[in-house]
Amino acid sequence: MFRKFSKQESVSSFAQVKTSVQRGIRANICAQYPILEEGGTIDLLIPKKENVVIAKCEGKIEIVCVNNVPLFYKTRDTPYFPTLKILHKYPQMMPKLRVDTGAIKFVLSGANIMCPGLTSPGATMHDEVDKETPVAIYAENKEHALAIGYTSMSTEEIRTVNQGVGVETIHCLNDGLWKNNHLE
Amino acid sequence: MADINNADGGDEGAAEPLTPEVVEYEPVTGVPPEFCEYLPKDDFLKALPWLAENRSLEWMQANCKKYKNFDKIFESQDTLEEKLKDLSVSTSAREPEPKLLPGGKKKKKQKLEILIERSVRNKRKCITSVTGLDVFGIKLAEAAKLMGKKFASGCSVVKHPTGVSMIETQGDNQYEIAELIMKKYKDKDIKEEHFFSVVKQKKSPLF
Repeated sequence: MFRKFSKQESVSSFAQVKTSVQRGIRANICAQYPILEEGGTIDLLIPKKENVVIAKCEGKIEIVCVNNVPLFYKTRDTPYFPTLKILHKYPQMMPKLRVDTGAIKFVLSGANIMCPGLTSPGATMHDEVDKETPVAIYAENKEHALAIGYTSMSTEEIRTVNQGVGVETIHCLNDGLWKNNHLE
Repeated sequence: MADINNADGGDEGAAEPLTPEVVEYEPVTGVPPEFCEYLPKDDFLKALPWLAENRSLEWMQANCKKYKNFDKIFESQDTLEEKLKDLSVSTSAREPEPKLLPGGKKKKKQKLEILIERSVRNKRKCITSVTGLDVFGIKLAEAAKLMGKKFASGCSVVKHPTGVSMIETQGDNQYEIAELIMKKYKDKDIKEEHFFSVVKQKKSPLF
């Protein structure tokens, strides 16, 4: 999704949102990632007093920015995803799936994750998730997440079908969004 | 707040905000060091000097498996350092490549010139448009506001379909604009010879 993302070309408008909308966004994010709400972590990410800016981009992507730093993003028909920087800070927030070494190269260039990459001996599925859930993608022998995906099958299906795209890669290391750490 | 929560729930861990984990990023490429080997080879070579300095040999061996010839390099420490030196020299000696736009197009080297064009709108009313300020690193929106204030007129940034954006102001004020720009943006090193006035698509020096 963010492979060819760039500040100048992809972002069509910035708009500061009303506090009521901001509250809505916060509530949505909290509902999705309850762990952020528990200890008030969300207040560190999106302080109530800080202005939230939404960057609208091509492909109906909306990026939630605080202090010009992109934090979360969504499209019209997906829930909110955190950026990898956020995920690296709070790795507990999302269910994890781990791919084998062979897949890393492809994932890093933005390819979707095929089922065999998730079921082979090197890979593990830490959590059971349903279809259409945001997940963090980890890799064999590596400590940190390398991508954020959106499952197109449930983990059970991935195991039984074992063919085709299991997880759509939304955002990965070194893609456009990763490089654009600052949106103004 | 925190005290009350603790008294209520009694669960201290849950009431505290999570402590963010600090992930170390490799400064040149900006990714966690363990993923450097999966970057394009050029980027990996750029990251190498840092990796060699900040990571142990074992770590390098474990995390750079992709490059087979590295086994040879790793045979003894001396050669490793030498090799790395060679590598870093070769990377730094290379000429900086032309900056690529995300689409893969090469960025054109832009000429340092400011074009000022006057177009007649309605017999005695005209529009002055200024192109090329962005090349000097001037923020167009800011400059437009400045001019609008200075000339007490409408002033806006117009984006052309060709990708060039210009500032348009009401009224005929070619020279005033040039002077204003030179005065306001002294630090950008703009001189009189950078200004050109455009008449019927022909360029001539303004001063």
